[in-house]
Amino acid sequence: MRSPHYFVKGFAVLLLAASLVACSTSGIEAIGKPDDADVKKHLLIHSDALANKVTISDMRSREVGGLLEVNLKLANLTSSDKAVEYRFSWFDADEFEVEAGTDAWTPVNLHGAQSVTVRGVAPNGSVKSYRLNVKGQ
Amino acid sequence: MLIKKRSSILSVTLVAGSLLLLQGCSTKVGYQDATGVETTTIDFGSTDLQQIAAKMVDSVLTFPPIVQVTNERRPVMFVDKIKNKTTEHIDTESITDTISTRILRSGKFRFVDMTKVAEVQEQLSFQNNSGMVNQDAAAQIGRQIGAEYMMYGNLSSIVKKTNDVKDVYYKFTLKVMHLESGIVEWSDEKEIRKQREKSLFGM
Repeated sequence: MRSPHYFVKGFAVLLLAASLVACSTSGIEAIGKPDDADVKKHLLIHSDALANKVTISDMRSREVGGLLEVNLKLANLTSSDKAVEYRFSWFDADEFEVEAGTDAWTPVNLHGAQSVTVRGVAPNGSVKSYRLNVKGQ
Repeated sequence: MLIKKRSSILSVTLVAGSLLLLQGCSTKVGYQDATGVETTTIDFGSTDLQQIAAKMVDSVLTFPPIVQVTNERRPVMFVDKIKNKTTEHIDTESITDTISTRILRSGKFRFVDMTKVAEVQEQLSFQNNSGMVNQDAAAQIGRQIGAEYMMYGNLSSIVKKTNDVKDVYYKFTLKVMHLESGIVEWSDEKEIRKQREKSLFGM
């Protein structure tokens, strides 16, 4: 016969686990301008926990038909699978957000040590810079 | 002393647990981010629609032959229905609405809306034939611009399930045809695969 203390401990652990599951992680963001592709200068870390597992690199951009097209590499630094979401935001020359709230969060599953290229195309020709936000699921 | 302490820990834990359970039974309404990832069920949802629209718009606007055409002018396009070949009821017009809105707002194409032909005809007839509208200010009949391109496509799915797992694969195909020549100028596909697994307690 196990003591009530044993069950209390178990119940407390379950409660803690439930509260941890309920928490979502905010993430990391990369800010890019076509004339300045130094990702290290423009990487903002809001969550060390996520930044230790996922990183953004190789920011590239070009103009296609008057629209800014960008490519960034999302890499899983761990050996286990990691599910993240990303979203682009676009800004004009005056740093005003263009077509705010149009781009949606996109889910992506990164296998262990896998890197994928995420691609974004500006909604119109007024875009001069962008931001990529990444958060954990 | 030890028994008393354990008993108080037990009481606090049970009260906390009961509160958590009671909270779980209450109904709560709140606004959510419309652009957030939605995984309420495995059925076609807002995240699928948004992913499809983003991929298709990015693809068509950066496809070299289309870029060449849209650099010179803003061609007129009309959107045909997307054939829903899945077993689900999916509002495919909503998908094409999102795609055409984004393409229009890019400033690269213009659209004609074939769902409004009857209403336009009625209004033009009123302006030109009713005798109630000043003819100097009336929109003239026969001056609309015909579409140069047509957008059309399919949405299909493959569903597989066992007792514990349901797997859904969606494939959205979109094409742009040059109406005069009948040539398909652009086409692309977006694949989405979702899986639902029953949890440990079958919930």
